[in-house]
Amino acid sequence: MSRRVQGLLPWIWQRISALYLGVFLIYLVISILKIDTITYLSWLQWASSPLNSSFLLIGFFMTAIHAWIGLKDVIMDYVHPLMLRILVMMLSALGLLVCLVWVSRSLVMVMIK
Amino acid sequence: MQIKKKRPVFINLLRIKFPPTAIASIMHRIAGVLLIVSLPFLIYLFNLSLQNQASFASAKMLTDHPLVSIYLYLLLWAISHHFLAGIRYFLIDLEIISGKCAAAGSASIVTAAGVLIPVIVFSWGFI
Repeated sequence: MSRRVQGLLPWIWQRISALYLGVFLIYLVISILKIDTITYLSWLQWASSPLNSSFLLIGFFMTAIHAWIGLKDVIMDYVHPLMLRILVMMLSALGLLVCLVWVSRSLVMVMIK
Repeated sequence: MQIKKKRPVFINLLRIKFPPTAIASIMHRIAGVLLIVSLPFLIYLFNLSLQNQASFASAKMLTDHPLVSIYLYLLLWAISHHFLAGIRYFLIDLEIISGKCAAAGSASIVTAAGVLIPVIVFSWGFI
């Protein structure tokens, strides 16, 4: 990709992930409103069904992408010294990656239980 | 040629008047960062709620704590505002919202609705 359209790919991904997360949020709210009393079993059943757990896993992935692109822009706006900027970015990326692995792993554990 | 016109310089944030678009925009940013920073806590709650009956009960107890529940309402504001402001950006991208008037109006609606949603949920006593 040429240097002139450097920011295009993150821009597109920010919108793809936003679209997914927005639609998923609406689906999540409707699903939760449909369960009239939320108990452990009804919640587990919802979250570990093949369809919903797939949506959730894709959702975690999309959240990580969306969060990373947004956070990167915020850091670039407010953190100016180059070394500090690189450090803050690396720590943020690492933190998000750890979150993604952590939450995906525990959902998969629930699914195979 | 030098422009010598004296312009007021307000460093005091309280004296700067922000247009509704700026308010919606900075709130979108603040809400986003708040949601990201809250991820570890939300993941912790998510895991706790799915492990077993007892951990589900303790997750519920945790969210019933007044401080935690205030925090969750704050997060509800954050996700509501971020979601609505995001839809507004899509509508701007698609040029459905264009021009100063529509931009300002939609920004005010987003900011107001973002606050209204947690208030409505609170009045239902949902969380």
